[in-house]
Amino acid sequence: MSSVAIKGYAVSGPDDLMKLEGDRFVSLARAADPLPRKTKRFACRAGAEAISACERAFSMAGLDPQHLGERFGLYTSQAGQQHSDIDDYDVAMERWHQQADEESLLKYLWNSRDVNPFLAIKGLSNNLLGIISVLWSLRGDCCAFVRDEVGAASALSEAIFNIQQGYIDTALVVSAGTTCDFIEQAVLNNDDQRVGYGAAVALVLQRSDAMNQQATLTNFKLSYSNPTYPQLSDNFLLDQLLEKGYFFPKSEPRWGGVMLSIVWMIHMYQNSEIDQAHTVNIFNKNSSGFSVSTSLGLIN
Amino acid sequence: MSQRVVITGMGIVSAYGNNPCYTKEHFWENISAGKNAIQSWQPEGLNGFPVQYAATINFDKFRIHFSDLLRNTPLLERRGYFGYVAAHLALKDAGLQNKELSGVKDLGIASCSGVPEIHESELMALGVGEYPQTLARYQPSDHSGFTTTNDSMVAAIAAEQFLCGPVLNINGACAGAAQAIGLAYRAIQRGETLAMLAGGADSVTNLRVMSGLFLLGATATTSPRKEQLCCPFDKDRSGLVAGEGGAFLVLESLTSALQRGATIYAEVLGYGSTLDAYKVTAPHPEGKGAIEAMSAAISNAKLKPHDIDYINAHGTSTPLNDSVETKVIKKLFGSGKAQHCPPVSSTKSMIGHWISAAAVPESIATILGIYHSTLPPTINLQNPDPECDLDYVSEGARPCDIRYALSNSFGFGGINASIVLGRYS
Repeated sequence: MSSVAIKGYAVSGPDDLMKLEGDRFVSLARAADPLPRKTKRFACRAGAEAISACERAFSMAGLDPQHLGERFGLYTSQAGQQHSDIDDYDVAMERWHQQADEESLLKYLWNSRDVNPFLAIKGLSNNLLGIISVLWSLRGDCCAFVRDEVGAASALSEAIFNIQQGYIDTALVVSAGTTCDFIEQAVLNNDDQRVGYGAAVALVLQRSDAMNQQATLTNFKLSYSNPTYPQLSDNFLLDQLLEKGYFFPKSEPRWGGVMLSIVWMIHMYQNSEIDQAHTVNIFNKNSSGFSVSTSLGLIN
Repeated sequence: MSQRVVITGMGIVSAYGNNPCYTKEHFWENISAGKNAIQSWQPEGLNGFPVQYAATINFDKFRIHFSDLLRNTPLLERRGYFGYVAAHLALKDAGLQNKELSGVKDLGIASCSGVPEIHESELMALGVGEYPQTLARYQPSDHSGFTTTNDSMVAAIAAEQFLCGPVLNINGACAGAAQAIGLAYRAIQRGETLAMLAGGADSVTNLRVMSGLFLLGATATTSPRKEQLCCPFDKDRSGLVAGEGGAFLVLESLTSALQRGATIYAEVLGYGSTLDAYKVTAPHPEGKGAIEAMSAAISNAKLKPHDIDYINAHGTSTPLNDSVETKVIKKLFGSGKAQHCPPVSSTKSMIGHWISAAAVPESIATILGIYHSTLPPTINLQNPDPECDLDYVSEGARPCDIRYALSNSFGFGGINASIVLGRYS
């Protein structure tokens, strides 16, 4: 079975998103450039951060995304923003409030040319998969997973499985999230002052024996002794949550999960803060009662 | 060692159940008889909505029919209840209600989800301006956060059924359920688990998603054909007609199925999924990604295109999809010639488009077609489009010995997924 190398990684988002405490301040995240207007019309809110993270991860891996061939896989997960953006209603929104009643208001909406026609596309959780694929003409195996940390763990597992099974040689795994979902924000009654930020993490993985000979910045390998898909936690069930009146855990970020942990581990290793081979256990959970228990190692 | 994967259970909640009767046998009776489930539809409390037909489930009758099962169900979206019941029916059909007794303990689930539902009243709460002001005005309903999380159905099923295996929730737009079946197949094949529920549920018959699809120009709106509006491969086709429902398959390793003496309906032989990398809203004009998905699935099954006896098409009744799908089938199976291609049908013509869950009823129709040696028909094909010149089984169900069949699903975002199903021998 092939081993899996991490050839590139990057995090995009606010520069205080990932930092060590106290005097060891570092920022692993980098701000993203805004999307072109045309792409923004159909891209999910964290699309800009995702594209930026992918660009930097590909660059670190020394790979040209336009020439990856067919033995390539793209796996994504998204968190937050599964509803319409207020921006998408554009001019229509101002006129909307002039309507007399709900019915005339709705009729105005579906007959309006001012509303973004891509409302349905922006609400899909495979939006990220689509825009990244189109941007770099990426084809090959693919899947988009829902949601939060579980989505990221599923996407990473899928990439590792498919490299190990020999279906593909190279994979791009991307997880993006946003706190811009107005419904979620309202339910959370979130005190976070950074309302409205998007963030993303990207990993470029490659079958170790298929790696090109170009010098790259990372030679870490993922040691997944027994990779599995996420499983449901039996002590954290949906009905129990409902009984307790919980809706969402307030932990942030709820995207990235295990992928962010990998970036942290690489960073800590490079700063001699952990041993060469290091294994961690990660336990994440999301609002629907999923949990992920993952054991992974990095070998340099 | 790679495990063979077979289908040992099926559960479906469809618009045919409005009688009400929710069995796979009832579904097959209606599909093979070419019965149309599409009827007049308008969003609740509104008139004049441009989309006027859909294949919907009578939700009140459905809830009454399954009142015992749904009594303690957590709060779910409309589609979530369909999936919850369908998963229960599939496990019952497979004889896996009691996993301890059956010996299949590490059962998992791979499900799909589409666009979360949002109550119209909540959509109305949108306002102008910056987010903090909007949030201050917005009053969500008590459970809106939960019902719209997009993974609450799969979590509810996994919790209710005490599933100890992998739990996956996939969003692949209209190819989502095909990917769920494909990933479940791979997980069993590589030995991660013995059995998986694979499928999903969807309903877009709410104002918000229907408005989104209408604004995109994807839906059929006006036609003198009325209930016959969904007419895949017809010259008069004008867009998709929404359907809704929930359906799950039980995929199981052959070893496990034989050990417990399960009924084996068919075998999953191959899976392929690709991206078009063209546009997020339209298929590649030459169907590049679609051909690659179909080829990958056939190759994964260790077959050649000429081995395929039947194709259950994506066949959405949209102008673009049906002509491109015809073109790619001719290219892959007939060197460009229609007469060398296997028969093709679109069961969406009867039950509408289940969007993210579309691949499950289509797989069930294909599996039962294999099981009963019968090709499911395409209905409403009255004026054939010259660009769509394959054998679409338009005269009604046809006896046919189906050894191998292909089921296609293509989705927004340029996602393509194909599954090869075969008669178990």
